[in-house]
Amino acid sequence: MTRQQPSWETLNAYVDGELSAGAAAEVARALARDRALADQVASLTQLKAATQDTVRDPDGAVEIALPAPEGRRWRPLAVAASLVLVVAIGLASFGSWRGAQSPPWMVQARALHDAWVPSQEPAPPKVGGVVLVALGKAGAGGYLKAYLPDLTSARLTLTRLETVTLPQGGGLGEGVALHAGYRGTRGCKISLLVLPSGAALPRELTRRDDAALRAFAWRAGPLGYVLLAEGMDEARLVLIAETVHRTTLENAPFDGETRTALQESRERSVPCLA
Amino acid sequence: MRDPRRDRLEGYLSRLFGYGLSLTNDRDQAGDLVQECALKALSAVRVPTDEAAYRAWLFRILRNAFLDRRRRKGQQGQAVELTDEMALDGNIWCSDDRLISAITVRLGLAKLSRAHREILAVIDVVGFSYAEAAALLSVPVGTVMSRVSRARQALLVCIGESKVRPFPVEARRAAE
Repeated sequence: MTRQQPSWETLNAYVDGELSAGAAAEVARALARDRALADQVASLTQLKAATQDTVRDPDGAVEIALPAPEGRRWRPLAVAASLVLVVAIGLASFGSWRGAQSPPWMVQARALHDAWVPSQEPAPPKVGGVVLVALGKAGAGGYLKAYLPDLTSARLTLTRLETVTLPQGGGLGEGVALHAGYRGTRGCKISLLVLPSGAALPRELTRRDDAALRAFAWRAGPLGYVLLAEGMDEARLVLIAETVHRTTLENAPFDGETRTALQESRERSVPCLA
Repeated sequence: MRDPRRDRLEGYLSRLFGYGLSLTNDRDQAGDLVQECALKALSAVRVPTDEAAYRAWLFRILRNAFLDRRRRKGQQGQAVELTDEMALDGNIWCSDDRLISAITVRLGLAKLSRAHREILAVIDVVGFSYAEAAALLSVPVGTVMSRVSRARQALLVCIGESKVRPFPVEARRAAE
């Protein structure tokens, strides 16, 4: 006699503890003899727990891992050394790109920023909290780690998290990059691009203005970062850029003082013009 | 001196927020709903003494506040759409558990219909039983059971389609 498999509905009710003792025992027996079924229940249990976690107050950084370019691996010592160097230079001052023409990295970064139109997103996802994700599939080369900051205290919500395959010959280098988009409540939007290689970018936090667009670029370990915004209050944007820059170097969540500063800066600022 | 009514309510705030978030898909609006709900609960003349009844009462206040707002905005016609339901054909669903993390679930939830988000919030975040959820939503228990399973399937599909992947533990250790 063939035993009938529990239905998907029944498995869900089992995970939710909604079955009678007899029905739950029957499911338990089915799980014991069917590994695939047991895997489904394990996934459902994990899904339920992750759903519970979604409402926890965001506090800290979003941790992202990028596939490593060939021949390059994450080297904590090298990053620590660059961290010491940059901190010694000071975060309050940053360089500005000189030259009449926009640098190649900025042209490509701007195209990505402009292509993102938050108002056209059907249902902007709300993302916050400490999470650990990777882009693409794990390759033999391992991963590079990057941290995306949670800017909730600045009233900016991470609503976009997409991978972008950079074309050959572009200003941002090659490989798979991450485009993180933060939306404000008063029309602001900030793009943060995480590049698998920062070779095309200036080593230290560097600012470049082009008409209304403000771009900040820097390297952190082997990774490159570009932060872009337009129409945003000057003091607020500078504070955000410096804070994000520091976060990517320290790989640590904001402290209370930083969160307060971001919050106060937002309160003092004027709404975005863009 | 502490107010026992306020203390009792505080224990539910995060879950009320989670439920509000599932209804609005917007943190600011969810916060406003919780505030409105809290004001009504604290100023109510009669408050249920039984904890289960109190909990159901609280979440009903929040839901009614949400529906009132929708009505004022003329959006009542879209309140219970189940646009992303899909046929449950009995095939065994197979997933890579590594895809399931807080971030992929958040991104996935935002893509679901409000009804699917709501049922998952009521069951997984608020912690209602199917019977309690049925009372809150004014539907039969069987509908809750069906809606939960469809919502989870829709969520798993969204997660599977996402380009964002949880970072495998082994790779994370290697990277560190």
